[in-house]
Amino acid sequence: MVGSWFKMIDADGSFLPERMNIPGGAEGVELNPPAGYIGDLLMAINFLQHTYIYRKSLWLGGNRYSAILNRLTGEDYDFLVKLHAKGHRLYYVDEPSCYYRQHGISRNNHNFRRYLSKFLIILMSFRWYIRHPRFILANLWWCRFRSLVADIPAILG
Amino acid sequence: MADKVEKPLVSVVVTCYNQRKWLAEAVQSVRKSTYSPICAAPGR
Repeated sequence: MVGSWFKMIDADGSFLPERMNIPGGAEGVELNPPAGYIGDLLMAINFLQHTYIYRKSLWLGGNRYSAILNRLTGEDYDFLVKLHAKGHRLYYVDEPSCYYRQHGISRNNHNFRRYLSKFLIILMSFRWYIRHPRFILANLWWCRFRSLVADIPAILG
Repeated sequence: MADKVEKPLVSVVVTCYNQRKWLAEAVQSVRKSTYSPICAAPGR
């Protein structure tokens, strides 16, 4: 059985039990109204961490993770960027829904991989970014900033 | 009289790459979710 929504989590993360948020329910009823439309902001900085939920119809519509980035890092961010570039609406729920565990083999610990993935993400959504060039520099700058905070102690140990 | 709104079924997809030692904990956290209905999405 497959649900009408897909919720993603990595195996090194952990759900908070009462924080399942769905920005829209059966027949379009808003069960949990979204905290805010993130739109263009997400194209500039990857401030989302670790989990998101999306309609199955997006998957059936042919939207997929990049096979290249699956081996690098940032495939989940790229997935959302591509959805936004296609005109889908993205919303941010302003409360934590899971723990993120940062550890020695986390792929996003590698700055070179992170930069390379950013370049590829921008390249793959080039048609959107070329119309909004300020987001290119913002995206790469945020990548550098994150490298400064990459040594924050792991939440889950 | 309030209409009962049926909540949508959610498939939780747990992706795993070099994270085997934490997988059981992640699945356990999904099972503890208070949201219903929820189902596991089998992978390979």
